[in-house]
Amino acid sequence: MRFTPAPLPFVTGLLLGLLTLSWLGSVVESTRLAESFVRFHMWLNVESGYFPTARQIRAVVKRRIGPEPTVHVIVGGSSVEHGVGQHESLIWTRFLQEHLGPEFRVTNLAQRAGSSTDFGNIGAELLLHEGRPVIYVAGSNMTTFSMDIRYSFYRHAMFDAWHRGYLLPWPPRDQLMRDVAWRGPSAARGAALGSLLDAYLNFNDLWNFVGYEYANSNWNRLLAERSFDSRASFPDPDYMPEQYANLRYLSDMTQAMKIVKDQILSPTDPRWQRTLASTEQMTPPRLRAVTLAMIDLDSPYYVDRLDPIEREAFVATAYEHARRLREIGFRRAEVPAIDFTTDDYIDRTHLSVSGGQKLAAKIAPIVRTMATELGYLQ
Amino acid sequence: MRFYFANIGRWSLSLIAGLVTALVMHYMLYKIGLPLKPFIYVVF
Repeated sequence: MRFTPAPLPFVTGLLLGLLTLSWLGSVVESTRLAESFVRFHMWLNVESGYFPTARQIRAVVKRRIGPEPTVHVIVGGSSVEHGVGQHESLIWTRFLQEHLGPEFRVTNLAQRAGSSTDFGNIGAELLLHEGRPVIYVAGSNMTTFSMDIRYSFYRHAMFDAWHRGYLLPWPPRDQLMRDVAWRGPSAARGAALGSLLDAYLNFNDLWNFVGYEYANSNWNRLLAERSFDSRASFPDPDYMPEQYANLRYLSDMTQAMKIVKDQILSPTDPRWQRTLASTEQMTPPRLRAVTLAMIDLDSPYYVDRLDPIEREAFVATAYEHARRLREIGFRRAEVPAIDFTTDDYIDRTHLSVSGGQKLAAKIAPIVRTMATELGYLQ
Repeated sequence: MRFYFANIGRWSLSLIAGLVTALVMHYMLYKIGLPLKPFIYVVF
């Protein structure tokens, strides 16, 4: 028997269904994710096919775990700030939280292969947008603070946040976000247009919720046969220090040294202009005013192999970047790893637990000073 | 009477078909936004 749907009830069902699902997407919130949050670890990020949404970032930042803190400290940046090399129980942001005490709430939104302008900034900006006291602790590599949004692995979250009005208004960035949807590279265009649709239909929020709480529907080669388990069932996979013992400094020396040397820029190098222009475009002045930028340094395991002139130029590059960031309005820009040792890293860039402890101890007083300067603390 | 019930049945089935299509469409919109192949391995 052939069934032909009657048009009116079919369209009614379609619209009703879409409206209901969109509404559901707008209200679901995984309290488990927010309340147990340490970081968006490998099984909760794009690497394993899970794309956290701007609403999930908001839920994490505003998680209800005790009284509202006096100051929110949002950490953004790359895998260095994410804490690759540190088990979640020994992650540097836990030490930072201990140093700062209960008046502060530290939230680590840094992402592997991310930057300070494509994910963590969303958490800081949405709080600033609401007039809440926030300090943004933002990692930066030697010569670039921001990543081109068109090629960022986390562009989906930025477009999502932008469409939902979580980002601070900043005309140069707004223009870029608008342009990408129509004139950007195809992958970025897809993310931009998808976010526009998602702002009304909330499909990413709903199915991310289902994937986290009940069953995931994206096959991923890292997870293989476990791909369809709920993401909540996956623990943070980073190792304990003893497990890292045999995994440290395994990179090819020639290749690592080439990367180290390639980061050296003279103060007159024209590339500074390009990188600073990108930073200015992607970082609203209001965010810069509450940001502590940390320029990450490579491990002395490699840097000490440079000849003395190169080594001096390498360190000078980091300080030059910090100076230029301060010049364009960043409240602080520091090079905290300047006296770290080989033991404070697990590889060229990532800190070991001891490195994380040193980093936390170094920046905590700066964060506290900034909180006073900004009038957050009496 | 029979015609009346047949009509109600067709209406209900059409409504359900619409709801199911909405569910599939909503899910497809989510899936379509995901990259076909993982892309972060180039970095790690």
